[in-house]
Amino acid sequence: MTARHGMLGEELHLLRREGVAVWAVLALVALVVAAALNGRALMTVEAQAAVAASAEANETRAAMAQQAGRGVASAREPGAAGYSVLAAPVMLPAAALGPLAIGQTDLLPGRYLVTARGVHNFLGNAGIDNPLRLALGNFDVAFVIVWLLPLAVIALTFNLVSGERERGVLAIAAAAGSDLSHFIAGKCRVRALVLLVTIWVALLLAALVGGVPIASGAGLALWLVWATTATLYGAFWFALAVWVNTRGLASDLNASVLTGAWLLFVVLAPALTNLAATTVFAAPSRVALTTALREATEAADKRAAGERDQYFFDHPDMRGQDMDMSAYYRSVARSEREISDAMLPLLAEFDTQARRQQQLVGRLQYLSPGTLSYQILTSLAGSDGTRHRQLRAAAIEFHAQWRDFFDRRLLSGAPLDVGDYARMPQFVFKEPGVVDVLRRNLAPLAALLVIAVGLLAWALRRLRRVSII
Amino acid sequence: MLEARQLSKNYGEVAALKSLDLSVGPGEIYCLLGANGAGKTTTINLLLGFITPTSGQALVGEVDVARDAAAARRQLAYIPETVMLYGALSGLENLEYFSELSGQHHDDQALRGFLTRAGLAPDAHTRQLKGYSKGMRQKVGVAIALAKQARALLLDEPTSGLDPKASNEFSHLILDLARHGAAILMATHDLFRAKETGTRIGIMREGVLLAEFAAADVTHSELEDAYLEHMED
Repeated sequence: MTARHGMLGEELHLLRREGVAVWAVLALVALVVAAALNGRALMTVEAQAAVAASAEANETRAAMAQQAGRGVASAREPGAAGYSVLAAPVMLPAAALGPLAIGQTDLLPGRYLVTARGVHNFLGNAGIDNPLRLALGNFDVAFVIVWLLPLAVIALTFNLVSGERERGVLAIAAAAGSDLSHFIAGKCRVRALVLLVTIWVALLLAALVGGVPIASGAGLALWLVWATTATLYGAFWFALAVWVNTRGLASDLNASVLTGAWLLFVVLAPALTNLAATTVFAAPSRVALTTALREATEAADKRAAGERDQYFFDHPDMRGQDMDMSAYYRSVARSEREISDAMLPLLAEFDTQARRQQQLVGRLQYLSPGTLSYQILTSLAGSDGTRHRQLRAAAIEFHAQWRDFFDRRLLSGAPLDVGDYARMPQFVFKEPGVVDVLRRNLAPLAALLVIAVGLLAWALRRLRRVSII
Repeated sequence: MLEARQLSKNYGEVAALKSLDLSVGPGEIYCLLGANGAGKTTTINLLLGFITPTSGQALVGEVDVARDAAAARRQLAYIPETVMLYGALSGLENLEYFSELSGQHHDDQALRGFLTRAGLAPDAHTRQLKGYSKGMRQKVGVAIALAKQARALLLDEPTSGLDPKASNEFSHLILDLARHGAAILMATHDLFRAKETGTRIGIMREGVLLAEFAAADVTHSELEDAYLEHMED
């Protein structure tokens, strides 16, 4: 038998020999690493798609510029270039902690192909996803932390006191002259230490295999706050388990109570929060959007048909031929503006409802440490929807610049030259600074800290009065 | 060494122990007999300071347990009816754990010595406790008391569920401890073992100590008659 020094060594040895802790720790680390690899794979697919879209747009633009230089009419026609051929990719850059929390990355569009046509053409191009994945969420590190970490904590702590009582250890330990509150606090400390080391080692591995840039100052700062959030969340579950143990219940009842709490805080509360947000502030349905778009398109088509008749009436020599290209695209531009104008109130309502939903979720998140932690983790990782909404707003703003670039030339009848192709607006996403991200998460983080530390202090206070028999 | 002075314990309206006077000196084995609910375990729990008395005093070596339970417990060892301890650890590791807990630091050889003295075969020292019989686990409990060098032992039905051989071995163990000066209070249902092992025997019913004998003054059948007489309504 090897000599172990003091109760810390004895407790660690005991945990190792009992096996549950070892399996819980290994499973947690393995799941976190697997989730990080999954996150990295998803981010890689996104990045490859973004590079491909960007390369395609650049190639098209370069080819058009060459044609314009050679005097090809369609390449010199602003309407044809802006309304038919060119599209500017507007993309969200990869976030530092993206591989750790997929969040809403696969639900909300992370890139748009902006053309001179109306905003309705590119805003509604979210992809179709697997319904099962949409229902279950992504297997990412945030999922493992929010959903599975509590189960590991529960496995390690559900019988922290009750198990000792049932084994007669509390009585023998008390009779051995041990201060029971110190004895149990010592057990708590060892388990807390094991969990703390596990969380940080697992998240460090996740950062390394997930490709999180922890060598950069901003990446490291965000990762540290991310890991601290996970630690506080783990501390909440640990505190809850200790508190339940001080109630003097049997181990099986402790396990039931803690599992019930997990179901409430991790499964039901987020689902109910989401349900409340989408019910109270229901967004216009896709059917409403489609109907409005059809009506606006029909009205614009009627107007365009009238315009075409007028054109051929004014230019009888052109009858039986196509319209002059510039005239045709001026008509298209007017139609697109009319459709956009008709769609804007509905799209604005959609944005307003989405913003209200987010505000309600922001308030209701405090009801559940699970929701609260998930919001913080995805917010720090830039996948909580905030960046996507910023991208959407920036895309609408950029679209106005892009359309104006072509419309100005289209309406004035000025053809495009090679220089115009080089002068076309470029989209640059203004990434929120680390300080802004941290400031946005300060209140939720403070709330999580207060909940975890407050509950832990309460539980430790109750430990002093724990019943031996 | 162990003393109860007018010791009482009520749970609401229910009196679990009524004005108990009892003392156990060094080298003495006091056996408390009685049916379930007679107050035997309550007496032990009061002497251990696990519960507080409603009135009266529980003393361990002149220390009032209610006032300074820690000082009282430093002189005590306790063996419950079922010694579970940690199944994943060996007998040796359990002994080391509980010795550390009571602030005693013994080397491997000394720990093995305690286990051997408690009657545990050397080949069992390093086997996991979950493979032990109840009698073997009780021996680890005794080894914990030996390692602590406790001056007094409180045993709550320690031979319950043991086979006759294991029960006999256990009796020899506590006799050995008493010979070395330990004061032992043992709650038991086993009249035969009480007569064989005890120095004095008390019969309890409904929280009251009804009778007390010197073990040497009664035969097995006299003890049994007295016990049954006191148990009748």
